[in-house]
Amino acid sequence: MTELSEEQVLAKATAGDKQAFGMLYDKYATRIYNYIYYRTGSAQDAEDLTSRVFFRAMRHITNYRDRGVPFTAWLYRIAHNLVANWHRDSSRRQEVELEDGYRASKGDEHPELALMESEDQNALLSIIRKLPEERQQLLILKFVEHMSNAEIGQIMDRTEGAIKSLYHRTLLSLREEIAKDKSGHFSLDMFGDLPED
Amino acid sequence: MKIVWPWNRKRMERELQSVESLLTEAFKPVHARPSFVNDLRKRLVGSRNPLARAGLSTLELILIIGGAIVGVVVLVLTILGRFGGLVGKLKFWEWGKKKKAKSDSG
Repeated sequence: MTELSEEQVLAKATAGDKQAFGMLYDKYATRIYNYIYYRTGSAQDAEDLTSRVFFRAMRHITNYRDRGVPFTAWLYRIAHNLVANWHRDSSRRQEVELEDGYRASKGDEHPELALMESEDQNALLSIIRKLPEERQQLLILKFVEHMSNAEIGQIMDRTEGAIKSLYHRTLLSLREEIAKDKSGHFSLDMFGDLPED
Repeated sequence: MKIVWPWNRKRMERELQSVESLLTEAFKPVHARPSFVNDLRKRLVGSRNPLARAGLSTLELILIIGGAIVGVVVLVLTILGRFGGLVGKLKFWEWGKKKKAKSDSG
């Protein structure tokens, strides 16, 4: 039995082979869903947009040519554009509600502890959602998809150095926002006083 | 642009590491509903093709399909042969019966 490499599967898919596209779907469906879920904060919208991403990808895959942009980056760009349109079009921007998500739980967590952790995560995600779009995208690609700066750069169409710098600035602004947070989810002395300007 | 004084740099690095730990905790992988994932797959490409999923080469596929066709043809010919043989035997039996009856009457 010969296992097809991603290049071979991609070549078949770009030639219009539906089963090959199915293999790409199997590989990327959950990743794209994760990305959209954290960008929209809603499982329902994540399902809707994930469907649209793959239908659009299937419609246009015959036009895909690997010109230095890997297939992953191509797919994430479709997802990014659809999420950006969704944010523009809708005034139904929601706060992240983790209750409607299907989070991977450790299973052995104490329910109260899990709830406290979930509230802390909600508070942090609320802060993250106030960041500019590109910074949210960067954080999701880094922490959910575990991508390198170079890979993120390919998706966001920036250099590796630019991503590194953007990441550093994002961490700094998050640190400030967390220090300012009065919700009580983060201890006030977590960071002490911020350094003088 | 904020200036970070050298005596604050270490502390700031520690704090940024804490932010990274919080982010790692916050961004846990989520799972889509399996029914959604399966339904979307069906809508996109139809049901799973077990041969394609097994990653068979074109030659292997040709051999499997060719073998299946040959098998079916052999089976059909065998059935027809048996059926033909049975019909032939019946005819022979009837012919033999008629011949016997003729010779008895003669």
